[in-house]
This record gives sequence, C-alpha cells and structure tokens, in this order.
Amino acid sequence: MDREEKKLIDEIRNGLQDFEVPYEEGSWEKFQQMYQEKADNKQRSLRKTPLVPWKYIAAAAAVLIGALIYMPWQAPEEEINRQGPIARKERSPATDNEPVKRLSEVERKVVSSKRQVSSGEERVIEHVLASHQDEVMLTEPDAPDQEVAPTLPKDDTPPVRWRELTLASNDPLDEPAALDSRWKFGVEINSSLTSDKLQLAAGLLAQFQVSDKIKVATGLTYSSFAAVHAISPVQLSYDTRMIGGETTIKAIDIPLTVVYEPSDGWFASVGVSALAVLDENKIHRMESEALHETFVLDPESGASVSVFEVVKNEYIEQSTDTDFEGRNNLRYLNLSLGKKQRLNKRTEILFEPFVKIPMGDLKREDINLLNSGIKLKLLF
Amino acid sequence: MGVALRYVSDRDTAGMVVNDSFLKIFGNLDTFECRDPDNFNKLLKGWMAKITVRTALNEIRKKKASSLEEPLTDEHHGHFSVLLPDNLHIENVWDLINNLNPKYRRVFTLYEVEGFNHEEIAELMGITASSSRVYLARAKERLKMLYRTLMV
Repeated sequence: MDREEKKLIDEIRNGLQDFEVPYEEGSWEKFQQMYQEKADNKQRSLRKTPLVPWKYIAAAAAVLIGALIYMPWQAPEEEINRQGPIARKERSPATDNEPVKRLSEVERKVVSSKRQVSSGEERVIEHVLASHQDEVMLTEPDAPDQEVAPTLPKDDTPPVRWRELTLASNDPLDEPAALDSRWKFGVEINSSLTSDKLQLAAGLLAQFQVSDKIKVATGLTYSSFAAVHAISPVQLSYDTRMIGGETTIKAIDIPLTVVYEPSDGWFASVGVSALAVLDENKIHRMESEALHETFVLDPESGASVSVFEVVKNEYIEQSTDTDFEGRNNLRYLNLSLGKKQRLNKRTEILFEPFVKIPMGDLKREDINLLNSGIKLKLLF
Repeated sequence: MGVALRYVSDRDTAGMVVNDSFLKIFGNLDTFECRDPDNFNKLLKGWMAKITVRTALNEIRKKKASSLEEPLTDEHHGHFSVLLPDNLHIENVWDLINNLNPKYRRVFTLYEVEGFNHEEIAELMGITASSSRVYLARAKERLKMLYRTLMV
C-alpha cells in the first residue's frame, strides 16, 4: 500500500468515524412515540395471537381427563330412582307397630350378607348409602340403639352404618353397572369422496357419556384415500409437460369428538383428528407431444405427400417425493350430524353424514383433501 | 445516524435504521457487557454502532427483496466542492464514498471503518470472502482514482 493510498484511507476513516449528524428537534419525541406504539402493538399481538389449535386440543384433553378422573361418580337419576322403592320398602317396617323386632330381623340378614361382599363392593355400597343416609335416618326414628345392639356382632362400626348396609345389600351390583353403561365401544365404517373414487375407511370407537346430552368420543380409523392435484400444467421440456397428479394416502385417523344430543336420536358433533400417514403414493400425470409423419398419396397427381401431425400421449410417472408422509401436523376438523337408532337394549346403530376439513399441513392449495361422506357406526 | 448513513444514502431510510437500532439497543441493553469500565463510553458506542450496521445491512437486504436495490453503476460523476491541502473536508469524504458502487462502499466501510474481517463481511453481506477481498481492492482503486481527479 503506497503512502498516498494509506493517507487517503486514513482520512476517509477518520472523516466517517468523526462524522456526527446534529440532533434534530423532535427526533426523540418521534422515537418515543414510535417505541410506545410498537410496544403496544407487540402487547396487543401477544394477546390476540391465536393459540395453535393443538394447544386447545391439549387443554381440552387435559380437562376431559381431569373430569373423568375427579368426576364424582354418582349414579344417574334413573338408578337412584330404581333404588328408591328399595329404601321405601325398608322404610315401611319402621312405621309398623314392632319396629325393633322387624329391624333386628333385617339386620341379621345384613350380617350374613356382609360377610359375602368384597371390600370393593363395600365401598360402592357405602357410597350409595351415603347418598341415602338421610332417608335411612328417617327410617327408624324411634328405634333405640340399645335395643338393636344385642343383635349385632362385635364391631366398632356405628349402628347407623349397619342400617345403611341393610338397604345396600339388597342390590349391591347396581352401581358398577351404571358406571359401565357410560362407556360404549363400537366399530365404524365410512365412505367418502375426495376424488371421483369412492373411499372406504373402518375403525374402532369408544364413547363416554359425560352428561345426558354431551358425549365424548375417540377412536382409531384406518383409511385410504386419494386426492387430485389442482395444478396448472408445467412445461418440463420442449415436448413434455406435467398436467396433473394424484396422491393416495393410507393413514390412521385418531379423532377426538364432542357429541351433542339435544333430542333422543338426533345428534351433532364437532371435533378434530390427527392423521398419521402410513404410506403415501404420489404420481404425476404427464403429457408428451411427438411429431408424426405420415405419407399419403395425392389423388390428383398420385405423388406421395408427407403429412405431419402432433400426437399427444398421456402417461403416469411415479414421484419420488411425498407431501404428507412423515409429517406430524396433519389434522382434520370434523363436523357431522346424525341419527341414532336403538337395535336392542345395548346396541345402537348410527347414521352420520360428515365433512372433514383439512387443517395444518393437510391444508394445501394444490391438493384438496376436503372430504365428505357418511359414517355407519355400531355401538355396544 | 452517521453510522447508518455509511450504508444507506437516503436520509429517511437512515433515520428509520437509527430508530430500529435504538429499539434493538433498548430491548437488548441487558445483554451488553462492559469488561473495561474505563472505556465504557467507547465500548457502548462500538456496541451500538455494530447493532446499527447490522440493522442497516438488514434494511438493504429487505429492499433488495422488494426489488428496490440501489442502482449499480461504475460511473464516476463526482463533483468535489472543497479541497483542503492536508486533509479532506467531510463533504468530500461523503462525495467519494457516495460515488462508489454500493457493494464496494459497504465492503470498504465494513473493513476499513468498522473493522470487520473478510469472513465476517462475507457473512453479513451474503457473499464469499474472496468477493469481499475483490470488492475492497476495487473500492480502493476507485477511491484513489477519484482522489487523483479531485487533486487535479
């Protein structure tokens, strides 16, 4: 580097480093205002930023699981009503003229039956009786404990508890049956249309009755469906162009659905499902053009004349890439309406027209995976 | 503002760069570490200058993306208003700098003024280190030529 160059660069460097622009009046106020606006916008956007639906799903699942775990397992009303007459049946002797004697008889019966029930059953019995405690207390208002005591074996359990067991021992298995009846399991098949081909899917179902009108359902469905690529023709070379494509997917669909059943038989459901793609087959539809020469004889001169024509040929080419396989953000929003028909005491058949709206990475402009069809479910 | 103007000629854009830089500076003030309290002012100024440089280069990149790249020209139509015998007036410095091809100007400023090496410049500008060396050499050639013209 010669001296002239060094001097020049030093002067430029010093000039630029020492260069300062004088403060312009109002610049700080402008900046402060902009800074405040940006901070406000950031705060607002943080508040408004919609959560990824998966977070809602996770929250809903957590609430659901929590509800299932901590829900007070009370028998449905009809079960309680069914036990009502039993309580009344036991109550009637108390109003008789010989309450002590009748009560003693009943209690003796309980002592023998108590020895047969398991500890698990005892808990259920105790729970049922807890809800009937008031009734029981009213059952023998005049029965003095001292008169009852000689008929009981040595036990620390208070006498009232024995009277409770008296009622429960008549139908100890009713309550577990009520719990079981909230769960229903079943199978489903559905047919849908994503392209011109009819798609079939089949799977297993589990449904839990949260309340009289609300149910939560999940399951596992294996489906195979195809979707046509909506693309504009792409010229790949001077004589070949890609005119379309089709993707066939084999997948497991895991739905989480909330079912609302306002009236007996009719229901509507909304839910989301995660799709795990097991296999994806993607093909491209190609079109090639070839110039064909044919020879014809001129009828007038008899000479051979060449005629050229462009012949189009369509063929399918297997794609090496995939659009969905291996991805984990594949989701559907599921909506349906349906009608339930009871076949017998335990079995129901459901007809359910549905629509599945792609979300996440399933939502593509070039591949329409929206599908609709009808489900046929059998619940036991 | 002076730092921003080394990279963007437009004063409004430079003002925007300064504002954005200060937003970043305030937002990241807790990350500034001063290991030499005696040189606190110098270190803080250097740290702020680096943020401003990066913000300016980002702004240039954004403009490139929206096809608003500064026109590339090798023509030198500089007019130097004042010539001082021993040192250049700041206006002359800006004239020299502004008459450089924008890429040469950025590389020259980053290397000679900010003190970045060619690898860092390559990363900042999205070019190769060898391109950075070539741009720097060309920038110096142009500056010398302009300076000689100015001296005549």
